[in-house]
Amino acid sequence: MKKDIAAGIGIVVFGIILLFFTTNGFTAFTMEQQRVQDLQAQPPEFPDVEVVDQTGESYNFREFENKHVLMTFIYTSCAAACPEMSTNMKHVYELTEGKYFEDDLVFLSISFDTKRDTVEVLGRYAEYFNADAESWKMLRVPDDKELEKLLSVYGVTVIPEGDADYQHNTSFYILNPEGRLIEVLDYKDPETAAEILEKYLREQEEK
Amino acid sequence: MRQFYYGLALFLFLALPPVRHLLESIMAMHMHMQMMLLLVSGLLMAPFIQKKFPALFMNFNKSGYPGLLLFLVIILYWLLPRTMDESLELWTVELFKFISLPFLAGVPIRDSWPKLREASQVVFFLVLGVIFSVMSYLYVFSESTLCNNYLMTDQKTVGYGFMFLAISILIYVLLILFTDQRQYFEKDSS
Repeated sequence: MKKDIAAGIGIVVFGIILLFFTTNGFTAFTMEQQRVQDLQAQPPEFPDVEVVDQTGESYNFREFENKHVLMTFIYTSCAAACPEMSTNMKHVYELTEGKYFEDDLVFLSISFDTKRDTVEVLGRYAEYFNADAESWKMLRVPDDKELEKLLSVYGVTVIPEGDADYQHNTSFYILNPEGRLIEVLDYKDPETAAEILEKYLREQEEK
Repeated sequence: MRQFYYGLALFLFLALPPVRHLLESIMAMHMHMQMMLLLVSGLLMAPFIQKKFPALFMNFNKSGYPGLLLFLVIILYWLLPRTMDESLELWTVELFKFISLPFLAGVPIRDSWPKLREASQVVFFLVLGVIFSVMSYLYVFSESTLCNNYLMTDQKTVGYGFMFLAISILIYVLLILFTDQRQYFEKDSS
């Protein structure tokens, strides 16, 4: 009986240690939570990737350095989360003071469906959301390898669903001017996202 | 002995790469078939292992509770959404799945079961029922994907699978509580 109790205590300790290490100290119960934690810990970097916006102009992703970036990953033929996400992004856009967009802030919607989302399609999509190409850019990444690189830097998983759809991470990502991912926010709550964004922008202004 | 070979055959069959890939490609099959069958393979292999290491079970699982506890720890571990993702991405976790479910959950629960009083068995079923109900609620009503490797619909299917399990357990508990079970065990005692 004594050995039973000892074995029982041993098993409980083993269980706690096992669960503690798997969940990163009871903080990450899903891979998604762990992903966000890892991303925030990784060194800042603007990946060297060529992107094209809705007007057909091409940039290097590095050019967004020194600005705050609010970023989402989408595909325009999406019927589920993306329209809601873009609508909410527009809401954040409207809630944010216009002056910040001059030098401190840019909104990016990055499509991972390069095949269907051509410059024309992105242009039409941008029109729906009144996204001018200056402060809110709808981007495509012409090179597949570079797209993969961009997705992996920000840990975005895209799984094909059926013939024409994708399932993907839906969040607002905020990058600071050094390129560090500082926030991964719920896209369903644009008010909070706008507040947090504004807080970072004000801090930047005071510097 | 025969049971052991059946268990071993099932275990090895599940470990075949094509079988593994097939079962892991659909979330519900991963959770409710592969993991369940691994547990079953452990149940089948248990008598042989009990005979091989009688002292281990006699000394450390005399009351049956340590085995029960170990079973619950392992089950709890595999109910975490991230462990299922990790088993697809890290080979160590995949290996741990093939060791832990048969040998740390299946074997101990079979050793423990006859040692437990009926009341403990019923409590155990109720605990399991509650855990599965919570998991069902979590998977069916979650608004975001909990496992990055699987689709939203897969997740809901798993949730309904848990609901089915929880209801089955509840029905079974009611059955053993409110019906006379003695007739089924008379042959054993005589």
